[in-house]
Amino acid sequence: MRVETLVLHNFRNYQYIELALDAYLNIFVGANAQGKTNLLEAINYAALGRSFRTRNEEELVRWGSEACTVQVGIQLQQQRQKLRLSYDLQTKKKKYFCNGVELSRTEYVGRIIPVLFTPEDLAVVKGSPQLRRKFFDELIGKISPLYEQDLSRYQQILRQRNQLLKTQGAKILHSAELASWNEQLVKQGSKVMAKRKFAIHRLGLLARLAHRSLTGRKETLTVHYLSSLGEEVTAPNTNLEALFAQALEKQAAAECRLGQTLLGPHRDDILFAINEKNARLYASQGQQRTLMLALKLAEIEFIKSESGEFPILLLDDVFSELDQQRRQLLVAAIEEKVQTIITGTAAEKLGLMQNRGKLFTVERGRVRLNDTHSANS
Amino acid sequence: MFYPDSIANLIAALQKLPGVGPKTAQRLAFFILTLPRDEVVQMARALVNAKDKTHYCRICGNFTDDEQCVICTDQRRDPSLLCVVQDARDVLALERMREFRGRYHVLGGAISPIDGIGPEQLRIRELLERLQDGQIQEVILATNPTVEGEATALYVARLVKPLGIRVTRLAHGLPVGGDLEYADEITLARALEGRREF
Repeated sequence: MRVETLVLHNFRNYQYIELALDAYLNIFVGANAQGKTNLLEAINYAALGRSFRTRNEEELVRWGSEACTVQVGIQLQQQRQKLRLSYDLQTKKKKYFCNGVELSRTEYVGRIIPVLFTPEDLAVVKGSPQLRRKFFDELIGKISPLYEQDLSRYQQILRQRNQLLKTQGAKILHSAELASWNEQLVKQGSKVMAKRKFAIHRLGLLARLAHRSLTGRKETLTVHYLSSLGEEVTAPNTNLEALFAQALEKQAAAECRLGQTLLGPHRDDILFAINEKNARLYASQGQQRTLMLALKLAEIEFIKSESGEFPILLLDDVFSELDQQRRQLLVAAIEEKVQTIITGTAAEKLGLMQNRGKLFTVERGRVRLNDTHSANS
Repeated sequence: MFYPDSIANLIAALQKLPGVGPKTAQRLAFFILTLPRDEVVQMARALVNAKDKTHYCRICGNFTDDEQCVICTDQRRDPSLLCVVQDARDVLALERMREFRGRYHVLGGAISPIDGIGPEQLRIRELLERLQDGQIQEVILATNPTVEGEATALYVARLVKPLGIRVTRLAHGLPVGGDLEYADEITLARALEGRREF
């Protein structure tokens, strides 16, 4: 999977640019607020139909323009495709095209799979359970396009059930009405849990391997699925539906009293442990960074094993966050396999370019290819 | 834009219709002004007439001008089959296929706590009363495949099954006549989930 060309039209601060990307390494340098991250955002947007920075797509359209367009020329399984995504300010609608043919969102998304790494990703380790669920949900969504649908249906059931518990309380304990919502909650919730269980298990194994080599075999990372239904969820061949239904039965009185759903995947958390200690609480800054890096490397391998192709790696300003040793390990892990697009403030600090790849300079919405580094690309 | 009050009122009235925004309302209003007076009177009478005359069928909840709807009074209908739907519009959709020979029961919505709709707000008590005389042997649940429609179907099934009546649910499946490759992913996934022994 490669992005060969990138064309932006009225996207963020770019009026019009056309870029030919290197098959392996692309580095964009420039001062702050020149539009480096906008380029990563554009590639991610063209791939997933969603921005990683904002939910308000109006922000994507250049000031004073009517619509923005991102076009990427990609290579996928030896075939070339042209993907185009445009957002219109007036209709507030997106249009998806592949080779000039308009497609639906589900048909379009998933042709290129990006893995994004930004300094904010550390929040996955340090932040609230919601951020960890989001990390895994996005990962599963990349390899299983219908997961998004499964999750939103679960959330709809949850909203309805919570409203019922809140307004009716103890009156509906043992009622057929609550039972009929339980039936749906269990069925849909188990689907979500099964996919999370699979992803957490697989990613956990891959992250452990990556982490072991990043730490020179000194530390052992384990990733645990913490479910509100208890340990049993993670056992092989668990009947999730039966487990969920039983647990719900036991909690029914408490749920009616508190007016909310206490069990289910919306309460999931994921525990990262280094040498059996909770990384969120006990790991140092440096250890947390290494852990996040291991998770990202595992994500690359996970996508490769599930989709058959390596994803595109987008690194937003993360090199400045890593020390020299970790940078080298990252470079070694991705070398010659994964197309990588990096932003940073200074090329010297990156210490990556050894006459390989392309170096671009970004300045006020213009991108220039530096000739000296374009050799061998 | 300034209109005389009469036109402004008409536009405001038309805008209350579903799917009609300010622009369409304006277009419709000006169109009405170009019609001969007779036709406008006819149209206005049709509106009032429909509102005054139609009401819900005492038995099934479908629209009718009389006490009972044409389907409930039709003696050729199979009295042992009952199809439960959310809206009267769903009856029309099912009738279009001219295959179903049973009768209907319109619930008048679906269970949705967020909208304050519980079983008491739907015609579920009426449904259970209809099932008392033992004539109906199968209840077909044809509520929408949404979260709310599904909850309603599950709820009704819980009440009807203990009565010893067969309860069935419409299948989620592939559109007929279309190729598999053209089916959208969600429909295909649900069809796969609901696959049957062959």
